[in-house]
Amino acid sequence: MKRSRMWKPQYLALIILLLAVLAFLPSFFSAYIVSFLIITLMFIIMSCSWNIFCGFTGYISLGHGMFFGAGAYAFTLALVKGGLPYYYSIALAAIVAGILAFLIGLFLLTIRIRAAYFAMITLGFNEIFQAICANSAALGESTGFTIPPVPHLHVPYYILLGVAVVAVGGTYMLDRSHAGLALKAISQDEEVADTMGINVARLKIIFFVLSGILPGIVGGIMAWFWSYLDPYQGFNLVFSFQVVIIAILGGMGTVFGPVIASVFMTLLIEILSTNLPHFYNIIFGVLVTIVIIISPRGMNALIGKIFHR
Amino acid sequence: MEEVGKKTLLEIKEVTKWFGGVNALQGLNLQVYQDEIVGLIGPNGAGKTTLFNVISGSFRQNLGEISFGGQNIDKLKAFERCRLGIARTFQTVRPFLDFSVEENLIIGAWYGRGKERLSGRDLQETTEKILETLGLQAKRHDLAKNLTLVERKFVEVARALATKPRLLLLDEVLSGLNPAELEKAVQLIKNLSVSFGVTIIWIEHIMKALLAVCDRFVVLNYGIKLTEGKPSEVVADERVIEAYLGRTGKKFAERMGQLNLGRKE
Repeated sequence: MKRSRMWKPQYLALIILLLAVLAFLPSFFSAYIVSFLIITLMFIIMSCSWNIFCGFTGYISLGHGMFFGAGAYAFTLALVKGGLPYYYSIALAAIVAGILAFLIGLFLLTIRIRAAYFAMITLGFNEIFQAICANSAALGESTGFTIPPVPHLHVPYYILLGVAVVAVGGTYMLDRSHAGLALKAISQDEEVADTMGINVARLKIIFFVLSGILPGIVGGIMAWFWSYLDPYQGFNLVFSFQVVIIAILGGMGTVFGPVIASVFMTLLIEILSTNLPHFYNIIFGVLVTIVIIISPRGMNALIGKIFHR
Repeated sequence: MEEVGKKTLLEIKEVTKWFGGVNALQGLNLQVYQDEIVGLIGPNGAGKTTLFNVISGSFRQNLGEISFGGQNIDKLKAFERCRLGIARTFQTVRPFLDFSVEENLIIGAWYGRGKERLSGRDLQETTEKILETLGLQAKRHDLAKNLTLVERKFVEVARALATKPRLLLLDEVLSGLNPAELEKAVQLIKNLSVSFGVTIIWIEHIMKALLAVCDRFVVLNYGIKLTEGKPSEVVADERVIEAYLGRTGKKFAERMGQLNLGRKE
C-alpha cells in the first residue's frame, strides 16, 4: 500500500537536485522570475499547512487566510510601530498566528462540531478580523501601512524556500508517522478514534496550531515583500479559497499533491491573467472541475495513475 | 451467589441514562467478574447498546456510578477508558474503511494502550498474533472497505484486542454469519478469554452461540435488569420468554411446540 512504498535512491537524488536548482535559481534569473517563484512558494506553504490539519482530518477551514493576516499584521506592527528588527518581527508573526490557532482550536475543536459548521465559522473569523483591522485606528484602518521594502529579493525568497522545505518535509514525516495515521482515523470516524484511545481533542489542537504557524510566517514575509499591508490584502477571502482549492486539487492528505497543484495554479494564474484578464477565473474553474472529475483524489493520484500504468 | 470469591472487574451502580423523556437505562446494577463471559440479552430497545456506550464512555450516564478494576471511571473520557482496558466493537460495524486491516490494528495497538508504548518489533508480534487468531493474515494489506461484512466485524474485534483490553464489549459480532462460520466464530470467542486474558460482555441475538460460550446471562428489558444467572435457567425463565415474545406470542409458541430455548440440543 501507500505506506510501504520505499525510498528509492533516485527520488532522493531528484529532490537534492531540485533543491540545488532552487537554491541557485535567483542568481541567474530576473526579478520577475524570482517574484513569480516567491508567489509559488507562498502557495506551496499555505496549501501544505492547510493540508497537515484540514487535509488529514477532513475539517475544512475556509479561513486559513486569517493566520496569514494575523502574521502579516503582527510583523508589520512589530516592525513599523514597535521598531523591532526584521527577524524578531517574523518570529513574532509565527507566535501570534500560533496563539490565534490555539485559541480558535480550544474554542472549536474541543467540542464535537460538524465539519460544515467548522468551515463556516473559520470563514467568519477571517471576515471578523478584516472588519476589526479596517475599523481600528491602531491597526491602520482600511488604508493600512507601508513597510520599508526588502533589502533584496533574495531575502524573502530564501526564507520562504526554507519554510517550504520544512512544510513539505514535515508533511512527509507526518504521513509516515503514527500521528498521521491517527489524524486520518479522525477523518474517517472521530467517535471510533476516540474509543480506540486517541486523544482526539489534543491531537486536533496540536495540528491546527502547527497548521496556523507557517501561514503566519508567510503572512509576515509577504507583507514585507509587498512593502504594503491593508486589511483586504491581509485577510483576503479569495486567497483563503484559493488555498483550499489548491490543496483539494492536489489531493487532500497527500504529501506532494499541494506542491504540484501550487506550481500548476501559479503558472496558470500568471499565464491566464496576462493574456485573458477577464476570463481567467472562468477557465480556471473549468480546469479545476475537469481535474476533479477525472481524479476525485486530486492531481497526486492522477499523476500516480499515469506513471504506474 | 455463586460468584462469591471472584474478583469484580466492572461494577455498575444505579446507572440511569435518559434521552429526552425516554429512560434507556433505569437504575441499573450490574457486576462483572474477572475472566467471565457474560451474555447480555434482551429485546430490541432494551438498552443493551446504551449500556455499552455508557461503559465505554461514548455517553456519560445521568445518574449512578461505574467503576472498573476498583477505580471510579465516571470522569474519564472514552479514550482514557480505552487506555485503562475497556475496548468495544460497534453494532453498526465501523472499522476505519480507508485503512488496511493492519493499519486498523496499529491504531489500536499504538494509541489504545496508555503509557505502555510498543516498540516496532513488539507491535509487529502483537498484530501478528491477533491477525492469526482471527484468521486475517491473508487480508492484512487489504483495505477494510474491500472486505465482506463478516471480515469487517472481525477487523473490529482485532482492533479492539490490539488495545490490550481487560474488558471486551462485543456488540452483535456474529449476525450475518453462515452456520459453518458461526461454529468457528463461537470457538474463537471462547478462546479469546483464555488466550488474551479478557473478560467479555457480549450482546448477541443468536441464542445457540451464547449458550455455547457464556458463563452467565444478564437480561435487560426497558432499561431494567429483568434477571440474571445461569444461561440455561435464564432462557427457561417465563419472564424472559415473555419479554422477547410478548404474552400472546409466548402462548402461540407453546402451542406450536417451538419453545425449546432452554433445552440443550
